[in-house]
Amino acid sequence: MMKKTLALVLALVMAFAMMIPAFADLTAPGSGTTIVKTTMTDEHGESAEKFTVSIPADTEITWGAKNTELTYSVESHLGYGKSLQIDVAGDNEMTYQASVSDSFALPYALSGDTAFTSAGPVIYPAADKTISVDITADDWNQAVVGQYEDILTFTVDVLGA
Amino acid sequence: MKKVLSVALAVLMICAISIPAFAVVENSLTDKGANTGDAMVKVDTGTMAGGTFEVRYPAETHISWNTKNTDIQYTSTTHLAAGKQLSVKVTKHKDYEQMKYLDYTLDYTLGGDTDVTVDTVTTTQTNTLNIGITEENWKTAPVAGYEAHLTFTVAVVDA
Repeated sequence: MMKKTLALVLALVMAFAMMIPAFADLTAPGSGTTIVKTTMTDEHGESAEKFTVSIPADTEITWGAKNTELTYSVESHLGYGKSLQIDVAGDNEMTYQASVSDSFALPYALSGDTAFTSAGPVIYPAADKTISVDITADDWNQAVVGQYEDILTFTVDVLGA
Repeated sequence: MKKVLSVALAVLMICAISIPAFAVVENSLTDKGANTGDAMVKVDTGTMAGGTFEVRYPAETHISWNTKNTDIQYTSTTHLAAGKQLSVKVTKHKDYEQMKYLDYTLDYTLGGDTDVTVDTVTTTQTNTLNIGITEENWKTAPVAGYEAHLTFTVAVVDA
């Protein structure tokens, strides 16, 4: 019983010895050090790591236009060793649903910043990226006049996470 | 048990044979002589000649991300010799002109009570330091746990 009590007391003493004091004191002429550290959460406890990719909801292409640009913007505040990757893809053809049973296709290609990877964890201020929707004159000439549309999907990944 | 009792009795015996000390009597008052006399009383400062002081500061301070101003308080208590004051200076450690995380840096300013003088006798004087980080510096820094060291230097100086 005595040995167990002694072992417990010694364990407690060791635990207290390892505790880091909250304050430091200077009681003789000389110098001392205090450490200042940043946390990775903001004052509300939310992660400081954030990113924003702003994309246009709608882009209108004038009939016959061979190249139509649309711009999206990127801002990122990520941690050490991380980067942001954005991929943009569509179906490569726009569709005109003329009636329930009749639809027409208009081929297009995407060019420009369809695949973007940031050089580092921070993009600030926000950077603008441009994509071009390319439709050939031949495709325009062969297309039934109508309102064609397609959806472009923006896929965002954090690399190095 | 017998051994413990023996030791205890030995200690008691030593205490009993201690000879009490008295100061040397320089003046004596008797019914045949003077009826007043002087005895000088002096305070011996001994090892307390320089006085005492304590400067207390936090071992570590955490700054939430995006916080532009963070206060750090420290306290000083003095009980010094006459004509003396306490000088407290706080500076950035020479290796931490900027906050650091691996090869990343984050600029900051150190302001507030970085150079104070504390009076000879002070119960508790509270002073405040300020760590400033601009919004722009936060936004351009990769998110990480940056660190800086501040140095407190104290000295007893003439008032």
